[in-house]
Amino acid sequence: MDMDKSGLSGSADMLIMTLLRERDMYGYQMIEDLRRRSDHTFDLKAGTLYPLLHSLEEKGWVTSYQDAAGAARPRKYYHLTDAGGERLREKWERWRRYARAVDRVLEGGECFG
Amino acid sequence: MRWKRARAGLGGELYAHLLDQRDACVAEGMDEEAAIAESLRQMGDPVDVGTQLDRVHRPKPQWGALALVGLLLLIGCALSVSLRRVAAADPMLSAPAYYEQRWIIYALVGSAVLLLAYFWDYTSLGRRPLVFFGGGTAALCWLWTHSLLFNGARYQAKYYILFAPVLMALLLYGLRSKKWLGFVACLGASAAFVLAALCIPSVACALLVGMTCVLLTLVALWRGWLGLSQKQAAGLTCGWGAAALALFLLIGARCGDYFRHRIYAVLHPETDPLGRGYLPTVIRALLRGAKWTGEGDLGEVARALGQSTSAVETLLPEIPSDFMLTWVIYRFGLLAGLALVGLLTALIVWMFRKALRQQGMLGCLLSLSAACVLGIQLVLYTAQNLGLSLFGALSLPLLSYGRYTVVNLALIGLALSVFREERLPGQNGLSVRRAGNAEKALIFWRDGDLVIGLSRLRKQ
Repeated sequence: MDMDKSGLSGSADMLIMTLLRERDMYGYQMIEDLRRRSDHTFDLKAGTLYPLLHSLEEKGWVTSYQDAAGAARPRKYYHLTDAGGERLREKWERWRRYARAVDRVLEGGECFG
Repeated sequence: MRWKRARAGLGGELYAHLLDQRDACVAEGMDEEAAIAESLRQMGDPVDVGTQLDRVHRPKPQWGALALVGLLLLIGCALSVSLRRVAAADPMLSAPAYYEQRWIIYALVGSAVLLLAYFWDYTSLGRRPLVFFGGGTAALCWLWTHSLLFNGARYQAKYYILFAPVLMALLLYGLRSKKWLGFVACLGASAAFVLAALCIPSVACALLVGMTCVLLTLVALWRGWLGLSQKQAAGLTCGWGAAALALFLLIGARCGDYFRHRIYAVLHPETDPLGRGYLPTVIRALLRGAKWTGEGDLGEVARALGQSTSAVETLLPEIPSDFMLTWVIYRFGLLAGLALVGLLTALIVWMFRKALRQQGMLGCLLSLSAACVLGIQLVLYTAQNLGLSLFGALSLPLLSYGRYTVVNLALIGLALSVFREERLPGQNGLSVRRAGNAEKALIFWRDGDLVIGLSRLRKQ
């Protein structure tokens, strides 16, 4: 399922930063990892990914470096910074609140919490 | 994307992605042509992609800094005019008009040089850094040897030597990852620049060049740009500091009486108020007599010197170039002096912060060299104008008279060029992957594979 524009809007940066939190990655690797983990639900286009990555880099949430070690061609890897990690935690928190609120509406009933 | 220079950096990354996608499609059984077509389809709509990238990658105009530089130049010009009018009003004072005229010329020429540097592609220096270093050093040597000799000093060489830190930045960049060879070569180059400054002779220039070269090399060491580990960097830092201190003490000991008398004159100017202690005595008396706003009182000076005087302009030599700050404090008040120093400090601190945040090695070192040269000039000039003239001063950047204005504006233009292009993609391609990263660990991830460095186990 291709949810590139509708499903990913507003969450793409959170998903990408979550991948980078685990390890440094290059662009194609992120797309493949995202596709595999979401069972092909999230199919991010390269043309969406790179402007997003460069925007994150400009904000200082990720940095990048060239690395040719062990690869057929040099690749540009991205790394989540400490500031990016902080931002990611905030986004996670906001997402969890949003998801709980949606679940409550979908499940119906009074909220005694 | 409208920014043409940004396209080259991005193109490489997108091309590599296309190749990865194509290889994956071929691995799934597609033929070459179908794989390429699918890879292009996977990239998305090219117009949409270009528009999004254009939003992110644009030059970052430095309007604030340019406005501040313009304001400082206007203030400098106004001060020069004001000084000439004050001197012209008193028949006892000589007021050569050429100070004002030449100040305006230097400001105009310097502004043109700033704009040239600002719009110039500084990354072109990174394509052949060692060639530019060699050419720049050769030009510096030629200019140094052809500087006019006046009273035993090559005054013009003081302007040219201020570009030595920029050359040092190019050398560091050219020798990145060369480890010990790079470090020793940079050490040798910085020692040569310091010696050239001492032979002008100018201790202030030597101090400025030496401190800036040390700072640039330390930044390169700590960020792993020379390919040495953090422990090695720490050891080199301590060793270098000890060597510099030993050298300074050796020079001081060999120079004997000169330094001792100079230090004594600063610490106890009252012991020789009309001789070696004259300038510190007069300056400190002027500062004691200064008010928060408006003109100060010359009574303190009369008491300190034991003689009366009618105008501050007769007390201090070369006010437009060497004692502009003291004159401003006396004539317009302490607040005016603080405001000038505050504006300059704000500009220089901003430059330092921006320089240290640069990801690319070349941009970081070039802008840092400019910030250091300006910062040390400000510190030395302020110290002299507060009566602490141990090393002499060069200029009050953008405010005092002299060809330093052209040099300082050129350096500011270079730094602003770096800041303007900090969004240029591929800048991080100019930075080297740091030594001591994850892959130096025993166990790490690489391209989805868990790697255990058995060879490191053996070494351990």
